Amino acid sequence: MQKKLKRWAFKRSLWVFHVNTGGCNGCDIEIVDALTPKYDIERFGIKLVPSPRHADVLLVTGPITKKQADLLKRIYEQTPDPKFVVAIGTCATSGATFEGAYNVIGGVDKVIPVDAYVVGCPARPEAIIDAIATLIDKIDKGEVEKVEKA
Amino acid sequence: MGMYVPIGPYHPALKEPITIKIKVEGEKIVDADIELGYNHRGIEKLLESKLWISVPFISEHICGICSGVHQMTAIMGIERIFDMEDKIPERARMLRIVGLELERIHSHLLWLGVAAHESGFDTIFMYTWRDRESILDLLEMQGGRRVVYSIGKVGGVRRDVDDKFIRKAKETMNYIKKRAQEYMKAFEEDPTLLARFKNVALLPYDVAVNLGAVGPTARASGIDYDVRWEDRYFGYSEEIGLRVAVRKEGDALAKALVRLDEIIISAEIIENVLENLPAGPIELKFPPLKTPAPGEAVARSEAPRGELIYYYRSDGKRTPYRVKVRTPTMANILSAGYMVRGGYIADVPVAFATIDPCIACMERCIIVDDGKQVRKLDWAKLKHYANKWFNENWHWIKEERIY
Amino acid sequence: MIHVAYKQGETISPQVQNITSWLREVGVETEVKLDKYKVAWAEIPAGETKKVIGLLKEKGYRHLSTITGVDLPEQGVIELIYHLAPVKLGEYPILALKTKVPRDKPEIETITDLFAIAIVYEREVYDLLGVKFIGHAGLSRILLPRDVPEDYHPLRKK
Repeated sequence: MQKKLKRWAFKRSLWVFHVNTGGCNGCDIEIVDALTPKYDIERFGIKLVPSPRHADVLLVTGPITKKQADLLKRIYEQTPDPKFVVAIGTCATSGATFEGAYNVIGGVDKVIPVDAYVVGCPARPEAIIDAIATLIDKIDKGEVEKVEKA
Repeated sequence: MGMYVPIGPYHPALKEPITIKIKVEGEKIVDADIELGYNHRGIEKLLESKLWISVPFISEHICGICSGVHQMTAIMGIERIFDMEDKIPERARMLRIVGLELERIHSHLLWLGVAAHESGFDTIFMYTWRDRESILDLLEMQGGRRVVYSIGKVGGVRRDVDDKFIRKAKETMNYIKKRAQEYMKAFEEDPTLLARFKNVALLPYDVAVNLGAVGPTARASGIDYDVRWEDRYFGYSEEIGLRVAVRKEGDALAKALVRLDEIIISAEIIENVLENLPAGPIELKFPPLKTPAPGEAVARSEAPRGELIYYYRSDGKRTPYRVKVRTPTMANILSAGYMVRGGYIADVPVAFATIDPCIACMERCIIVDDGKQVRKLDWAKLKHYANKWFNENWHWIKEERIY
Repeated sequence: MIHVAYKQGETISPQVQNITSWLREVGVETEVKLDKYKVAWAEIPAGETKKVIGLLKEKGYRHLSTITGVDLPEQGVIELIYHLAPVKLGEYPILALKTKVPRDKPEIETITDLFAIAIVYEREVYDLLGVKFIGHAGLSRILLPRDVPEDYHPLRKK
């Protein structure tokens, strides 16, 4: 019953928090773009919230710089369970362009577990919406394990 | 008695994240201290290991908002190192100008939306971002991608434009000019925006010169300085409709209006350039492994946010010996600190936004009361507080600001 | 504003002669070269930077664009380049003023009292190359995390 309720709740109101860990601003703008009239992600019940404590999903953009690895971990811990992480853009997926730079660790999955990857430099708003919609779908079908764990 | 409010810390979206520590007495800010940190990726060192031809494609990832100008300035410097700047075909130069000006329009529209959002006027935020989409469509047509579009390359531009692009660009420019006029009216006449923008975040001429302000921040304080006008790179001139937008007031309103003026000027430049687009090749062949003579070069350009400067040094190898980038926000940081000073806490979001067009304002700020009581405020709460404070004090603040 | 088109390859122009004579006034003899791209280059001894930049500021070079540091291990020096630009002096070229400090003891006088913005630029050079600016009030790391070793400066070559 509880499981079912959680799935139902997520389906129509997924709140996302946006974390930038050293990205160039490209993906960040595309996330905000997804909120504005042309793409309007809010019609799926997805809302950008200003604090990780309110969030269900972390949207992480950018390669992880050395100084922000701890910060990202802290933000991840602050997010209440059940939580999902979406790595947005090629940098967050693998470090990409900044491979080999002295202050960059690499992709998001080197620091926290990731549930979905969106590639693209930057990822298009359509791709971001698609990723989150797919995630909702998976939660609904119970394919993502974390819902059960919490 | 005073208390410290550190705002910031990481401004994740830009290359130069900012922490502003403000000292407040009651509602007034008496001192502000700026600190940078957090988001350093080491891109200058990374560029030293890249071939000359690939440097522009890495440098455009410095900033996702003004990627085009970073790329073009990097290219400008490389072309100076290889001593080929004057051989670049005319059509390529003009197409570069089209790309740069489209980018300026999209960046300024983005900023206007953010500034309006910070003052609680979300209608304008949604409107400007909607209009911005039409510019992004054009950039996608020209470069192939929406945000990091790689329009240029060493020796010319990557893609030519067709009649369809020209037709659509002209339509869009007409539309944008109309919209810009409307926003200007909103900023000049709407009492809510006036109360939040007029006489806020003042930066007098002398201070702006002294603090090394650049770009629209400086031009809103009466500094008649635009690198496009001074250096005439890529063929910027009066003939294609270049003017310098200057306002004397130095407040947040002037900064908004300067940017709106620039949107109109940029739209006119694009129209003029596309009207008289010279025929001919769009690139000069550049072998990937070409080595330059040892030497150095400085390239400057006017990014949407101000003067952007690249320095290159070559020791005759396939890769640069040293690349130095100074982005405009770095130059405007002290000005931001100054503008915050003397204002109210409630004005911080707007004052901060006047130099810094970042939407990822998820910074936290911690208020420490004399070391005894600790309160935490994040950016959203601060903004909420600001808007609430303005609602309560509306009656006198309106008179103080507008009349 | 006046826009002056420089002839290509021209090294001696009235503006550059003026700069040379200003420098001569304060006892610095140096050759000012103008390159094709409207950038004037000059090299001055490290001890004279503050005097020279102060003078140039009076004469109209009121904008410090940035300070670049270049590590040159073969010569055993770190080269500092002060990029100066005129505000409201439209006909003058931008100036790249070079100076060299020894690599094993990189110290130079600060110019923060002339240009406030140098506070930021000098901290950046200190952070990435380890040049100490004497008289700078808050010289500390600006970009790198504070917990990196004292002598770690990523832009130094080996």
